Amino acid sequence: MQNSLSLMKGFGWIILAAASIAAPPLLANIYWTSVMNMIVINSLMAASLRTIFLIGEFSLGHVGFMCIGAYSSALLTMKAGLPFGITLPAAGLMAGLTAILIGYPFMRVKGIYFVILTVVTSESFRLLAYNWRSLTGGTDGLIGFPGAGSLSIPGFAQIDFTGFTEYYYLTLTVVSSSLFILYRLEKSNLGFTWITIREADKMASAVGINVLKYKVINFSIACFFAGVGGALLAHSEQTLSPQASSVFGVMTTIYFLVYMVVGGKSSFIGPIVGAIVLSFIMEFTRPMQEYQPMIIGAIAIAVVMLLPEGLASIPAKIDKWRAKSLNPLT
Amino acid sequence: MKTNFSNVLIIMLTLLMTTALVFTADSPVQADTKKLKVGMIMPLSGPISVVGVGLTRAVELYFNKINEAGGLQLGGDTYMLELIAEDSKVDPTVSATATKKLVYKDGCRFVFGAIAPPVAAAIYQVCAKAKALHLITWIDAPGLAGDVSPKKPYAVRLCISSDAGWEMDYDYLRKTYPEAKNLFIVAPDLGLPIDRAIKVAKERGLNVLGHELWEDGTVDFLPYYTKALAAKPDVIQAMCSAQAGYQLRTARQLGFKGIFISDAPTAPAFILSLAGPEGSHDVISNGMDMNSATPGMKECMNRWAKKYKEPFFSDSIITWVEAEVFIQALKKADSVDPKKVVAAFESMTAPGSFQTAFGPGHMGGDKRFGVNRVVVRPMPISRLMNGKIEFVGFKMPVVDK
Amino acid sequence: MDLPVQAVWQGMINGLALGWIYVLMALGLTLIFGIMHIMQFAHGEIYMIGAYVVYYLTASFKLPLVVATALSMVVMATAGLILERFIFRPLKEDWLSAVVATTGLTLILQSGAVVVFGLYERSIPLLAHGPFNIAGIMVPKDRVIAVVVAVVLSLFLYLFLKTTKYGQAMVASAQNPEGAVLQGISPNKMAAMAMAIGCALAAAGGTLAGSLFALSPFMGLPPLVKGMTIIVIGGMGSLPGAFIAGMILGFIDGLVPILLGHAWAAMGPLLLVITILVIKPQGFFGHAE
Repeated sequence: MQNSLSLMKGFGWIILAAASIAAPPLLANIYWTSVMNMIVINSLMAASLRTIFLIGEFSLGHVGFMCIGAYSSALLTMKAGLPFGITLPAAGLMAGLTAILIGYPFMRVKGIYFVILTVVTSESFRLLAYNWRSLTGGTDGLIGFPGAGSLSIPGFAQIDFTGFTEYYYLTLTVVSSSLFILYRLEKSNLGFTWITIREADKMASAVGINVLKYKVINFSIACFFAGVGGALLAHSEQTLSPQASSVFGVMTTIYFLVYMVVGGKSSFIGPIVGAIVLSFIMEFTRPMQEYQPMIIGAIAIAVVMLLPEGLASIPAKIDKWRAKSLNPLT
Repeated sequence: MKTNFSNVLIIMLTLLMTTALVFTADSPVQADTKKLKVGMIMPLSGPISVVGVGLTRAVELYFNKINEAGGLQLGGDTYMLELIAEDSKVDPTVSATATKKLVYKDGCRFVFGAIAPPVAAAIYQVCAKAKALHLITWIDAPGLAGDVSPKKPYAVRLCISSDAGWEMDYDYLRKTYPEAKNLFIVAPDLGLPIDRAIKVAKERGLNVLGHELWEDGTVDFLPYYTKALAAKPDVIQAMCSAQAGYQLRTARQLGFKGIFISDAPTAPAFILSLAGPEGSHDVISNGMDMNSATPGMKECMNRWAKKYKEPFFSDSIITWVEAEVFIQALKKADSVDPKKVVAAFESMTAPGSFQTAFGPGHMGGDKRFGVNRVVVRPMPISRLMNGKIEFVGFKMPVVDK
Repeated sequence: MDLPVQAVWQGMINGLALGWIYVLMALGLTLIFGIMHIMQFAHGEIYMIGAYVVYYLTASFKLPLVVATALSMVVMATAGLILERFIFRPLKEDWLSAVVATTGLTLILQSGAVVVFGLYERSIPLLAHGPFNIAGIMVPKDRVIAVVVAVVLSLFLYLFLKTTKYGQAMVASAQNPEGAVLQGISPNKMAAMAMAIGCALAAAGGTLAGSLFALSPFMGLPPLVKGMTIIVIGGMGSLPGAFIAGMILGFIDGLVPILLGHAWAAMGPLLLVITILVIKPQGFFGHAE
């Protein structure tokens, strides 16, 4: 049973990889490429949100760190003229460092209290971008800052990332590497410690684990990747705006949470599945814009009440059902 | 290993999705050469969706009118107009994606939009790359990120900024209220050319006591009006705000009895409904009094009433007029090539080059922007007295100073 | 800053009015959280819908404002009971799912409001016209009335909790859930009552805000964020804490824009939250976790 499940998982990954690599030339349309770009970024956001779940917390403030990353990268390319290759990790670092700074006070607070804190915090980051005119341009936002530039691999080729398709592959590469890192972290000793903290933090501290330290590390790594996602977002269109209804508003952070829960928070691929499926649904419901939040909200409630483990748990459930029907005694 | 049902299910699902994707992807070429697809990006959801939806509907209604009359004859072909509207969500990233859809998937070569400057700038970025014409639908202040410029060959502005009405407003103020000398300005923090207002006011013998800037999204104007009233002005000007009615109400609630100017195209009827009859006295507005609607506006209202159940949103006549101008430019160019249409626009600089529901207009902007790509057409002035709307008339705005 | 004293006083009174509206939101949230341990993210939408109900009652049925408000409170309380019974009760144990459910509810209610109520901004009739002239300071009458209404409602709540049997049961249930059950107090009944009262308060708050400011389907989110900030500062599950924090926040919103400008007014709450967290993570009056 375990064997076929992991084989299925392997298959799933291969299909995913193949589809995401082959899609742009197959579809030959800039618009769809940019949609896939957003889906890929959303997957990273949902997956890094799940990392925080490993220590048993929910963050409704992920979008705030995305905002920090986006603005950091944009401003560094604009004002300091640094190339994307540097500003991308720098954006992540800014987000990660901020997470460390507020992590120490915030991590003392748990559960629902933490969730509320994250919402308030992320709104404040957005308001900071909104009000700090001299730095971020305030309501005008930032327009037309440099894109990802170009990369020359000596002796190989010169890749110009201003093209939409090239940028998509860049995003795909960055996100895949990030997901790989997150996955390995989860399976490592560090990840194990995190899960221990989630399951029994009092016991963990009794054994001598510095619970606070590990929580902060977790939070900052997750937010690092949120920052990376933000940088990728910023340079895809080269525009940013801190309006309440923009990508950096409360709605988006709710959507990230919904992606994670609908996809399934117990498995690594869950949030990614959620991001993909829901992004597609949102794309296909374009003609009924006003109903979009309703549809997403209804899906979220339905999943939470009927299928709490999310979509990614469907294969496992089907397996169990099959096994049951074959052997009525189990 | 037994055949894993779930295995197969996953593979089938993925294949299904990919296939669906492939089949729904449209070719970017306009398959039907008899359809002229025009895109429009407006906030269709969110707090200002009233405006976005209203403005979109007016363009749609005008296109319906043209189609009913048999479409457009351009360059030997007959075209039926099709408007495709997308939601901007007041976010440049979302709007850029939406513009990409319009331009690359639906094959639009003309895109109307938007309301916020960052959104307009984002739309232009995509349009320029795709060599599509961006028709600027709304502008808070001239010269901001989304406006026309000699460096932007694919942008034409079809709307008037509210600052173009300042000359006529101050003239009317001086004529009707000669004793009122002290003016206080309450404006949104959007980069409006307040210095120009101060200059224009001074030229007419008005003294600007000061100004307060409020940030986008403010609902509570009390702090600003508290400070405004502390300066003891005779006149308060609420610049460029669809919330003028709320602002007037706040001022009256604080005991302000003086004159109030609203230079936004918000209808005086709307201001009246918010401020109430007791508060609606001595108000000057650049909004249209729909009781004195011109035949063109009446047609727009009738078409709206036939198609939509909501009451008419009076700001919509602005985009009805923009659609009028756009069609006349297309006819002058006798082509659907964006570059030729821009050239047609630039040639229509003589007064009366085109007709609109507001009156005759022409293109201008050369002195201020370096190119003649801004529409100049009459603006209305109305006055509210004793809870009643008095229509004063139409005047030509000053775009080139 | 050499602003006329008048402006400062007006700022303070405005802050008072704002504060009390926030307090109504926060009291409801605190009640629901204290008894049900669920953060009702959709509370802002209840506030918004309550305001719209009043709008329809006054505009279409021409009911007087007071009657309409009372009716709206009853309607929203009933809605709250339904929500509690069918969504919150099954999710009582799993707070993660409750968070998702309430956020999903927010999405549904908000877009539902757009569809049902339409996009046009509307306005509830003014509470009163013109200003009071208090010692040379112009104070808008409607803000004063808003404060009075909010104070009265809060007093009712206080009396209810202190003197009635059900009220005392609720307090007991919040402080010691297991002990309360042992005493024969039904947690389900307590949850239902908390929800009903909380939603009624939200409806009242929404009505006041809709009359002072504007009605729109999106008016619920900013007060919700403020309400959550208040809970963090005042301490979760603490009613006096919610009251004090609400007033503080109201004053910040009323005075700071006049004295220091809007940027600081926006950042103020966060700085306060961080400070409180560092000093006393449970908020002013919160219980240790």
